[in-house]
Amino acid sequence: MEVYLSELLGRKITNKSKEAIGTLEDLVVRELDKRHPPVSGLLIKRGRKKDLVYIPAHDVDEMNTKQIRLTTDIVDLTPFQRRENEILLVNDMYDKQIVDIDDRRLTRVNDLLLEVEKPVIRLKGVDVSVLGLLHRLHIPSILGILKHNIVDWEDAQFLGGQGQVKFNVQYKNLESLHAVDIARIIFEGPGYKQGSKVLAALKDPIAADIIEELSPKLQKNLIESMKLEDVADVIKHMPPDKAADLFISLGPAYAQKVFPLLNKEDGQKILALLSYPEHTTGAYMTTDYLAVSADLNFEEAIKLIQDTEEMPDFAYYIYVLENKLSNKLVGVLAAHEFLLAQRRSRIESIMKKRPFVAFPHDHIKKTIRRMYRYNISALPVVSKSENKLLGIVTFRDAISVYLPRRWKARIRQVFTNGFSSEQNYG
Amino acid sequence: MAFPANKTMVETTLAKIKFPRIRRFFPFTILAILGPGLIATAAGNDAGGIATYASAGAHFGLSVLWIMTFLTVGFVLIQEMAARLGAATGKGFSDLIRENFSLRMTVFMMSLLLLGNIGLVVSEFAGIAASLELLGITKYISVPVGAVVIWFLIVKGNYPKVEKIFLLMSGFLLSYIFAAILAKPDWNSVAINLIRPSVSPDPEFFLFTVALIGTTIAPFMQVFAQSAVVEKGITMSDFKYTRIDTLIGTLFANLVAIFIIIATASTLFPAGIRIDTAADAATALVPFAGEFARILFALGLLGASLLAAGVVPLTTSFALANAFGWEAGINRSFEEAPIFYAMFTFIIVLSATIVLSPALSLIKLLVGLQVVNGLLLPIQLYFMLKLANNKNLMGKHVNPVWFNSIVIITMIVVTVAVFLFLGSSIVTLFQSYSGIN
Repeated sequence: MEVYLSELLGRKITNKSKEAIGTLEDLVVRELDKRHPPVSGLLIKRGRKKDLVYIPAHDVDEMNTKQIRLTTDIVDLTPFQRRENEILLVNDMYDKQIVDIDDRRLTRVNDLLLEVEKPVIRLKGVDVSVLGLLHRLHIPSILGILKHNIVDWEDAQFLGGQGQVKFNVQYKNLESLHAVDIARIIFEGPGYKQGSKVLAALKDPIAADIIEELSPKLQKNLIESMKLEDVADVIKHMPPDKAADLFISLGPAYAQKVFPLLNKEDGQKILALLSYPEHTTGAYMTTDYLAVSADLNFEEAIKLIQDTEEMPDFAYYIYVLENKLSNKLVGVLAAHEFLLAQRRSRIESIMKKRPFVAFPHDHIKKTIRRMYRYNISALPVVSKSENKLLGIVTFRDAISVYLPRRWKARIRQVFTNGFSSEQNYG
Repeated sequence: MAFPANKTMVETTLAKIKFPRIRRFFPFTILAILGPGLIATAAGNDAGGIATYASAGAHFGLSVLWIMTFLTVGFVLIQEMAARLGAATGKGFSDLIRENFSLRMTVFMMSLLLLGNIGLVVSEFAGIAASLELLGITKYISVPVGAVVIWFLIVKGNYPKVEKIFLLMSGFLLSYIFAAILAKPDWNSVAINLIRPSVSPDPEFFLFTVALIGTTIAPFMQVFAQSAVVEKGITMSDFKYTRIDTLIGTLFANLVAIFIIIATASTLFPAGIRIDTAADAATALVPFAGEFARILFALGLLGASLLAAGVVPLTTSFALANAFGWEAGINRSFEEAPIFYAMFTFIIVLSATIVLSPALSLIKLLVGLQVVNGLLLPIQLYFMLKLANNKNLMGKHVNPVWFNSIVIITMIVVTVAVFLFLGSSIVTLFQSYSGIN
């Protein structure tokens, strides 16, 4: 049987011998990350100025909108003390923000839908409708034109509150959304403060993806409210070019603080990218690419790629280097050529030799023209003298030169809400 | 080459990069940070505001100036508190209400806010009508056109840019400063009256005090200031700029108000001319300030009214949508945020209709709605004080004791004034009934 929490609150609770012992005040849930979390107990108010009393859910015999009856006469009257990871549905969840995962939007908990199936009571969903509000206020709905709108608990993400009591919220459901949506939801709704708490609880790679997607201003606000070590952890999961962009928006003072916490290799990659002047190809380059050496055969190359820890964001081309030790670019393989290759063939024989390249100090617009003319979606960037592969520049990153001040247009639009007017990121 | 040994390399590389930085040149920095604070308070010098200041000056002369001094102190603190609530919590006013008070309280507060703000929008449309009537355009054209223009600018256009134009237009209100100087007031007595409290036994004095409070510290300004701070992602670390913005905005608005009072107090008051509306004020001042002043006053009134007629419905719809968990924002489509758009459109259409309907007595309605705003203010202040003293929310940025005491004194004065006013109007109403029988 399904019942709304608001219909149960304040109902009289009777024990086995039909004596009234109090009224229902709240419900306690422990395993919020379950599909439909079971209610572990009831909180009962025994009259004015008296402490709340806890009754385990398995003592409940009958629970409906008219009455709540227990199976026992024995009630532990010690005042309720809240323990870790106990969430009170009324106290902690009513009126708070949740994410509707299906519709990718933020909304508020107006009421909660429970499923009472003896012997368990489960939290089934969240009522986000106006009707739910009226229910809570005990105002009858006019003519019945309003409908309930229930978000199943499976498709809802609770964002936690600001209460004194800490409880861990798992963000499994939220993590299933695209980073762009998560970024929008957690910073638009609960504000950057709670947003950064949520962010800190997400897995590092996901957090890194989200930070990449934020506008420079939000990045700055957010990073400044995080611990230096956490910042370093997140930056480790970012491609060097994104990290370099982040450092530019953070400013030199902060950058100096974080650099010592990064490992040597990452730090040098980022620093190298930062040293290219504005509008050169180098400034738009990423060092996140796939490369194999020419002396391998196809199978070995596949194995090497499969073992790559984090795949680059752009992996349409595989670059071929002279050998393991030198960074000299000798050829390139497009993904489709790679797929059609014979299993035993050597990389050297299937790669395209003398690939089109760009030099780090070329003007970015020149590089864009080159990519456009030859219909290539990314160019390797090599050093002029030794033909060493320094990085690649993708068409997508390159055209950002045409956006105002390398401003991440996509996200900025998501965040431009209402009456915001400032766009001067200096 | 070990990385930590590369400290010099890190430094030289960082030194080479062009980091975006805030321009240090003072006037530009100021212009760049002037934003929400100025808009919130400039929108306060609207038709209702000008009418109140002008007629207070005309009725009581310079003796009401001390009220403005008192209000300025309270006003600055209240606006700062609103902005600080936004910067410290990252949440809008209505979000905080919903999450920290009961649902009943939320509904109660939001209903008052909606009602009071509709009243404000009505008075803005009345201001649009009055200002264009000064330039010879009938309200039956100006009001519908104004409503449609505002609606389209916000929904389809680039409102932030337009907002700045309105803001500049409301700058024409500065012409009241020149009007005041041209009127050659007795500056000594201006200075004395600014600091010396004096109460008149005239029952109308109460009415004007309440009206001055209600129009100077309008509740919507706090809601707007807070949500604008949240919107811009301002945090406590860069809050000092917001403080300057708030201070300049509030002082600017009240400076204009004070000069309006001085202008009418030194021209109309000695001549015994009494006025009721902003248009009256402009017309009455023409003999003293010159024919050209009429156009300046009209444009200033138009700018302030258009600004507020856009900002108030938007702020209200945002606040309500956030409180009840509806999608909101002008970057959402109609399908995504139907309630938000419906509410926003409803407020504009309703207000424009009220201004145009001949059957309703506009003045009585405006007074009634002003009272709602007057009642709303102490209630809203109560909630704001509760929130701004909540350590869980604000951390170390809670109100200091002196701050609380001044705001509480303001709140008590406002409450007492409103109740005295309500009491006296009930008595008047009763007397007029018994007079008829």
